[in-house]
Amino acid sequence: MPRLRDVQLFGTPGRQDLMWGETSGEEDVDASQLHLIPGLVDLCCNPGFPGFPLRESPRTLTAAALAGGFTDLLLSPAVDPVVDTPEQISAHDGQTGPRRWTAAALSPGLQGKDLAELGLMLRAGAVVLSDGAVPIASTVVLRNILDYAQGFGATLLFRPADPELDLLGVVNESAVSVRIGLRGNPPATEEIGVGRLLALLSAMPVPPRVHLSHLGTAAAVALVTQAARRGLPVSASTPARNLILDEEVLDGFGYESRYRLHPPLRSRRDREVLVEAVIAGQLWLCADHQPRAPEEKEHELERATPGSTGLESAFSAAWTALRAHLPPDKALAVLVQALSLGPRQLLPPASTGWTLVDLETEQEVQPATHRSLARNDALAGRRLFGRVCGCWPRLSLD
Amino acid sequence: MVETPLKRKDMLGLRGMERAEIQTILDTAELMREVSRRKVKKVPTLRGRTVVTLFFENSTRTKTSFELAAKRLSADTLSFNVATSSVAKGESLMDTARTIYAMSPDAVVVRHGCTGAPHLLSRAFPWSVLNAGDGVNEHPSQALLDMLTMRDRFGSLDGLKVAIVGDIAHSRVARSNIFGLTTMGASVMVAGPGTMCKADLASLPVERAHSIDEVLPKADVLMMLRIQRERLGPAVLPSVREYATFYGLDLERVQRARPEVIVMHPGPINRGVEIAADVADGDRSVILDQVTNGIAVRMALLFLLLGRGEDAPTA
Repeated sequence: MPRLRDVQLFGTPGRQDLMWGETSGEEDVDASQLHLIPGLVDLCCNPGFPGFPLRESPRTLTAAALAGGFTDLLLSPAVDPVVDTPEQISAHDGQTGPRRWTAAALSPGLQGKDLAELGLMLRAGAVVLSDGAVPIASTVVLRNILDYAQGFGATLLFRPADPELDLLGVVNESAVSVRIGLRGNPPATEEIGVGRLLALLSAMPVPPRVHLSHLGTAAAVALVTQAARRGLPVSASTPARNLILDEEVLDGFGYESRYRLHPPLRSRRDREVLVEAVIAGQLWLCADHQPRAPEEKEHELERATPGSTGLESAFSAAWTALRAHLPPDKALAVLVQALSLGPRQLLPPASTGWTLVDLETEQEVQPATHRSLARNDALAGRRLFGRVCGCWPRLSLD
Repeated sequence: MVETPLKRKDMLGLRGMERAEIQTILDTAELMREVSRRKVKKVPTLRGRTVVTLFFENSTRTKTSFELAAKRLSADTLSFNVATSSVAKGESLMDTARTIYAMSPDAVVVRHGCTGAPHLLSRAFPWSVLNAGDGVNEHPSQALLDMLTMRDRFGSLDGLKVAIVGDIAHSRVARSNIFGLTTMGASVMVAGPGTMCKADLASLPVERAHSIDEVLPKADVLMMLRIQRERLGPAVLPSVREYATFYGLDLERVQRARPEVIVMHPGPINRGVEIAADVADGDRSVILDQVTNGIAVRMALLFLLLGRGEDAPTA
């Protein structure tokens, strides 16, 4: 059986040789410059299928996830048709690719008007309930969802936003948006969304487990952190790219549609706070994989479909941001917590799988070389540290 | 021959443009204005060149002004009618552009509802792109004709005090004027309702006034903006009557302004809303001069972008 020679196994001291079961047939690997870390988890993965064949296919999603080091994907229900009935939920989990976990819709069609069959979908195998990136517009419906889902012990995932403010603008509302002449979305959009949700949760005797995704503002992070300290069962995450990019990438004449993201990139200060919160263990990370077909992005920035791929650059983005602030061993520990062990708490217990990474190599993000069918990585052209060398979702080292 | 210092193939906006470039455009426009006063209003400068106008939003004066400017320079013009084109069938901007580019035009004049659309076209093809208005971003040729009109009246833009009143937040005319005027040494005050003249304008080089009455005694130029009903969202303005009362320019307000003040408006005018009819048609108004200067400025832009190396028409 081939060996992984001289590898640093995360969580253990010193370097060691490992038997390399899943790679039988291959030769020994000199891993003296590499680290083996628990497999990465994406809590915000939009598979693009069914319904969007030009965005992604099961094959390309698998390839992209493995290339990016992700052993576990929580798939958004925001596909076509929306995953909002128990009949649509099946065991995705194949034998070779990353584990695909199902997030089922809270409301039929993500319309936010009524309750989907939450109990039946959980029974059918959904592990999280979420309307994906769509905020629940009605506070009455939102409150009913919280009350109802709590009875099933469900974990809920929301992107917090005031539903009306959420419709405004395409970039962060700030001096930059004024300068470049693009309609701005106020940072208060997110703060209000978080505040509304936390107020409802605080009023519940036994609130459900809630995860808030796509946080991008310092104010929202502060609210969630305070709520968690008060004992509310809440956690939060931000796309890894948000540790690298902020609104200043738009401050020029490019108007490049790859920066059309929703929610938009916020200020430099917000980005700095996100990094601090990740380091402090208050914020997890996700890849926020949102593949888009070329014809969805080849538009004016305002008309381009929002979203960026993330599976194949999230590790490098997180590592590049964290290594700039922390010594390598500490930075890697924070990354593993934020992009693997933390998010894994929302998923059913399962063996972690492992990801082999090189922490030294610096390379440019080149979407043309990505395994994803889509090419819309907002980090395109960025030079980032860290490279994923291998990924084994079912490798057990016990 | 005019030595062109324009360091660009396009005219996308006045933000970031150098003073010398603006100066050249205005100086060239003065020469071009003379052509329009001739009996035969045509020079051969751009003979054999093709200029396409591609307007995704309505326009009367900008579109006709650009077309007339191109014709007076002897360019061939093609007006691309979006309403009857494949765009109406859902064709994307880039696919429309590919089709037009295949016809080998030298320049495209584009107006589009999205900020950055001209920049996209500029990056995609080696033609010259002239921005005739993009989203809420810029309308550079309008600002240049405004600046030419002010320079005609005051001799220089240096030290001039310009008040822009109205819907600043949704006005690409205001933004281009702010960038251009401040580059040329003028100072800009803005006034309007809080929903149209927000605090975040502080990031632009402007002084934000709280009311039109505050700017009246200070301004050399009163530029009234059109209330763009098509761009307003809900709950932005209670009523037209209320706007006219608090922000409209009537004769009484003009009398409280400086005696040498000029009144400008980019058109089209909502008479009785942002400007009273007797002010728009009165002796302080230079609104028709703006229209005349529009052709001259657009001739200058086409000449400077397309006619490099050619002789400018001489007076």
